[in-house]
Amino acid sequence: MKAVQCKEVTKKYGRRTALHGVSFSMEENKIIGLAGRNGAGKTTLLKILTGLLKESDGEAEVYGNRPFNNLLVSANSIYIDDQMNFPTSLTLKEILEEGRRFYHNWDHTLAMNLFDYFGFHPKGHHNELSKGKESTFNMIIGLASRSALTIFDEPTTGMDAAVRKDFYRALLKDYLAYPRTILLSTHHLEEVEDLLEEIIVLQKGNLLLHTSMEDMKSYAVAVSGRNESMPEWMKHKVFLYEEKQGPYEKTIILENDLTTVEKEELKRNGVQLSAVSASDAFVYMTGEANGKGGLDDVFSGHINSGSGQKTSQL
Amino acid sequence: MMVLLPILILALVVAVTAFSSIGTMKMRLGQGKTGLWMLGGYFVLLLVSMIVSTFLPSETTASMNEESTHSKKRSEISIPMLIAEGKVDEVNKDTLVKEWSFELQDHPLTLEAYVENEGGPGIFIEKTSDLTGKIQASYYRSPIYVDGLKVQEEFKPTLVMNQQTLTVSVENPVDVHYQMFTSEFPFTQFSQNSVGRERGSRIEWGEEAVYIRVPEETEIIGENGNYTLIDPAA
Amino acid sequence: MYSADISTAEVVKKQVSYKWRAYISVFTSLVVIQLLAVLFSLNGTGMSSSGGMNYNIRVEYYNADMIMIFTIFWGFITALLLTTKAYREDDFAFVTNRTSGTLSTIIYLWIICSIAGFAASLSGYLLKVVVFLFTSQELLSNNGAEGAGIYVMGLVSLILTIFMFAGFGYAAGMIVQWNKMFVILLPVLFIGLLISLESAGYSMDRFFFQFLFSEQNFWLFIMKSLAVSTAAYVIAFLISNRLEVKR
Repeated sequence: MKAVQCKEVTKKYGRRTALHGVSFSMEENKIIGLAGRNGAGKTTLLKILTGLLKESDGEAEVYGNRPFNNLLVSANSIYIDDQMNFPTSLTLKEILEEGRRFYHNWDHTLAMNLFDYFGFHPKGHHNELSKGKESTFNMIIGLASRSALTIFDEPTTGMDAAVRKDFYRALLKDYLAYPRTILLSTHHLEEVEDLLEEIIVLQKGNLLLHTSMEDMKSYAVAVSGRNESMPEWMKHKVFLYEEKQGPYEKTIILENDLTTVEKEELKRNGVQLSAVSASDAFVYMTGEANGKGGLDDVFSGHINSGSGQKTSQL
Repeated sequence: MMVLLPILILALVVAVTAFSSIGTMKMRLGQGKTGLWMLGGYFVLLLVSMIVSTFLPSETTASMNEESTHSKKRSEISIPMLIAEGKVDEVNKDTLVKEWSFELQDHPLTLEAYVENEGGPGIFIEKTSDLTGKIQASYYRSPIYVDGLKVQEEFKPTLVMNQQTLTVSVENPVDVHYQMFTSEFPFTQFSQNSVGRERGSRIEWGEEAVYIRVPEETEIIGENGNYTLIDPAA
Repeated sequence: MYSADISTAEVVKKQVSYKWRAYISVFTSLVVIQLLAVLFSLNGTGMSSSGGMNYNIRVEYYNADMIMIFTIFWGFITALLLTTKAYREDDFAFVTNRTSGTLSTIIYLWIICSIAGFAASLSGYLLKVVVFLFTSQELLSNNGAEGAGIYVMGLVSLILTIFMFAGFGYAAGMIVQWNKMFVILLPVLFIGLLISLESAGYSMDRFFFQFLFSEQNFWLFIMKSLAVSTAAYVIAFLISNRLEVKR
């Protein structure tokens, strides 16, 4: 059974479309990252998967069930974000007790151990926690629930570096001991690169890429050298990013589909080839550093509209 | 729409209270177990009140059925009418509140009556051969019922004999104050007794009369129409 | 890991107990409102009468009607509040779907309405004691009818009434959550309907109150109030099935 299956999932909020027909599927028991820039539709997609939102069109399935209004999906999945709302009349410890009552796989020992490790006060209240503490507490619930589908939406908001590190370690350890499907959306892709098995990249409500982390790491390549050293065939390649270094040299980030022959030629021309990390590839790919709308262009005042490098749709 | 206005005002009051206590619960107040403690405390308070209220001096008024029998009895026998007809013997002895006896020589009797409010007791005088040298007076009053409950506070007119003047004064009205508890609407809705029950208009007044017997030959000097002379012939 | 063995009944049961713990503060407002109503009831309705027998009789009438009415409104407002975003999101903190969430809320409302009704039915004693403390005069009670049977019938009808008004609040709240426009539209429609019916010769409030509160047959009353409550809760249920959770 596929853990998650999406067919042409579309979500509209009034006139605004947050997701344009996203299709993908996820195998069980994997850690998958969901990346995308702000407003790419990550949260919308995750909320549809846990049944908090209803897709406007298309079909989302979690373990073969449509998530919206589905008790089975709700019992087997959990959605953790920094907006979680718990009754203020309950203390932190009582909230964990409630979790134990509701989730059949709940590991209360793990919950209490993490609770103590991160120094929570049993009589504390959720609404009195700082942003980082709140995220940490929510993370404990997400881990302890041992839900078949565990979704973390920006789980590290407000956490300091040490806690983030602890969280990733805890996540990995618990995942290895009790494999389950974990979906993780984060801004800090560089931190979770080694944790993830697959990555899904969303851009402006579209699925840009769904690939294994291995492929992602070799997805892009950086080519830098003198302008005249660039062979003619380079023009036909997909440029993710291009940066001029002075009048004579430039660096081009392009999709790594260079053949061995092409690589040889580049090397002969004295052009340097270097690897691009997954997180950098993500940044280039989602157009953060692209010609159009690139921050440098904003400051230099000439926005190179329309022409030139454009990220090709994948 | 007249019914609606107080309801809307009420709704506002309740809403404001509810919002200020429940609403703020999302923030600070009412956190933790306050609600449970308050509820527990409140029930203890209610229970204590329930027990205490059984020890309070209180009386349960008669139900409607009994009330109607009271009124029937009274309508049967009208005290002033009986006395006026000379049938004093037929007046219920229970209604006799007080008796007086005064010396009276062979003088004319002057009767003065001070009645504060208009509907004071009627004064009936009977000349009788049974008495010589004295007069006898008695005051009859049938009970007043408030919501079927007999008013306990007694009232008697003052009769004073000075020389040959008998003064009947009815003053200092008796103030009676009741705290009446009625059943709440859910508890009256299904009880057959409550058909057409109206609150607050269930005082049933009794009747009263001052009956004075004087020696046969006594001449009575009174103000116009302040007494009724019982005609033995009638 | 994945379990298909999830029963709605089981989840509803868990949610009811969860809501009991989570919304425990509703009792704070219940107690505050009933005490407030006791305070308002201390005034009594006075009737004085001076009759021909040289008596000035003043009778002060007291009863806990006000407490009952306040409690009914408490039910309305509480149910309304439970439909607000923050509370509905508390629902979704743990396992739920709309069906189980609404079902457990209705059961929860029934429980708290029963407690509120029971407290209100006893509040008359508190009123008595307080009135006595203030006046230390003899108290009379005119309990048109006494007895366990009457008490039980009264209690059940009171609870049903509170539960029915909670249903109105719940339905109204859901309608508002569905479309915020109804915050204004709903009262306008309601009052407009009342006025237009009134001008057409049908007094809506009289019709409503006669239909329910002039019903002298206990069983008929139960059926009528349950029918009205069911209508309200069904509306709420249908709307809640369409609501999304946007947190």
